[in-house]
Amino acid sequence: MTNDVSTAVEVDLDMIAEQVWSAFLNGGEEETLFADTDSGAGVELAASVAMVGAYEGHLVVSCSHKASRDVASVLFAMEPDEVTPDDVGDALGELANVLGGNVKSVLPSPSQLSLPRVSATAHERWPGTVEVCRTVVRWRDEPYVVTLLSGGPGGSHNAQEA
Amino acid sequence: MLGIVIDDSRAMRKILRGLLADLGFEVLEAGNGREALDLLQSTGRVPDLALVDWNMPVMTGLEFVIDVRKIAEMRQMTLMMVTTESEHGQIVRALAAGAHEYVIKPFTRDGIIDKLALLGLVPVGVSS
Amino acid sequence: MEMTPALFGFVADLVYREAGMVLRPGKEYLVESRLKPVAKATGHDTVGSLANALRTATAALRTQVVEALTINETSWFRDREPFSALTDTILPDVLAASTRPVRIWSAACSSGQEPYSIAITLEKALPAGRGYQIMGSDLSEEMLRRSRAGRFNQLEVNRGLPATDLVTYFQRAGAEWEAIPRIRQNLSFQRINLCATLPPMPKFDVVFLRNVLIYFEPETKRAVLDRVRQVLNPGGWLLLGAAESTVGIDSVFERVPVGRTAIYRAPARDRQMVKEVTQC
Repeated sequence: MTNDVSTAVEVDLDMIAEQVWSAFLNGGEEETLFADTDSGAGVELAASVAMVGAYEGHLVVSCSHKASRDVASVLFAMEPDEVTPDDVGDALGELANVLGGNVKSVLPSPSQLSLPRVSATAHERWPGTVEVCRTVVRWRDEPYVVTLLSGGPGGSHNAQEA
Repeated sequence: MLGIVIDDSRAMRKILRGLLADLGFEVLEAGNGREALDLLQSTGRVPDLALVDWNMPVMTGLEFVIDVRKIAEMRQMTLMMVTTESEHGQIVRALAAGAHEYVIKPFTRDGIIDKLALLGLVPVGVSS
Repeated sequence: MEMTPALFGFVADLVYREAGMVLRPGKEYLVESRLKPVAKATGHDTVGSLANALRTATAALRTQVVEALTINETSWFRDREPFSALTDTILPDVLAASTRPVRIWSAACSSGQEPYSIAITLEKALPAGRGYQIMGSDLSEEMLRRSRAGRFNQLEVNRGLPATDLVTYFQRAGAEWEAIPRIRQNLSFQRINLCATLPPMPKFDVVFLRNVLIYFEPETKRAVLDRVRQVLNPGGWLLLGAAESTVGIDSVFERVPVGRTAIYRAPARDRQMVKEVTQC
């Protein structure tokens, strides 16, 4: 990707993240802030969706265990200490799905979106990918790193073309 | 009024179920298109409204819409996609397949209510 | 100055009186976040000090505060009935009266959902070859900029824009949706203050003036309605918000009941004209 394209996508990524947080997580009462893009220390969990087709890559959202419980507690309308690991996986996966679908619509089409996958960042790898852009959302004092990757198995040639 | 929420995310089903229940709907749930078809066929119930996600395992929402539009007894069911798929062409595809309305995730409560008002399923003016 | 419960109560009272909106305790965050820009723009260090100043403030500042607190995501085809009145009652009359392009003014158009909703209605209702022009106006340059761009985000298009209209009259523009050129070429936008003399402009067949009068004192309401009538063609139509009426303020507009609501009509000929005709 040229810098121009990745800058344009970065602007869109911010806009999409802002809308997703404001509609699903804030209920209008909290501000979604954007943090420094390298303030992603302490991320422990990653949820991702793959895009396959005219665009090949992944949209990844990663955060701490505490942050993931906050997301689950809002989506499930439960207390953070009541949510189960299953709830966390479901909620974080849906967050990746919603971010991924919206990001897909600003990228070359047609592409298909995979179902979300959630795992510990220590075990998650996306070989052969390059980072296109990222945004870091700060919500309830926790950073959420939203990263768009390009390339990956079978699609690394698209990274140069796109 | 009977509604069915078809989404593979339990969190999303809970949100949409709560929203429909607040509007006076009785709500069924299914985790994918196949599960929904099986549930409706085994119980013989025909919802007034189906909220349908697109990307789901086993049977996608688009496949569900195509299949359900072929079943004569279910023709009066209103189909509204509620999905993160948001390309122009995808929306056209879903409408052509027989979906009546389309809500893009993320949505607000008022967004869903406004669309249901368009479909005549809730009175105009319920949203803020 | 701190935002005390007493000041919050004062603001809540004001918003209830002027806009009928109830702000319950617990909504302090909303008052803080919405009024911060107003405080800054009007030279107050804090929202508390702005709230305190409201006790003796001008109507204009109070309006600004009420607006900031009541602005909501606007729905498309808001309230629906005005748009069915446009299609079913107003357009047949306007089309029969002349062959000129239909001219409509959307006053206080905010982020643009109303003028674009009007455009979509006309695209569907006008006979082939019949042109139209829509002017949107607002006091806020920011709202005008957004309206001119004709771009709406995902949350905005979800607010009651039918999916078939979305795919017919909009195209993707990054993360947003942009009205297609065929529509945009019929829209223009201009900054207009309804409380001052209107700039010279060609007359309109229809004026949408919805949820604007509620913010004004009776004398201002009368003056605004008078100005609007001056820019309407004889027999032109006025649409107000659901809670508004010309009754008791302006006796020249004729109230025409339509469905569960009412629309208003300027006299078919202005008095000057009638006089000249009878003299001939």
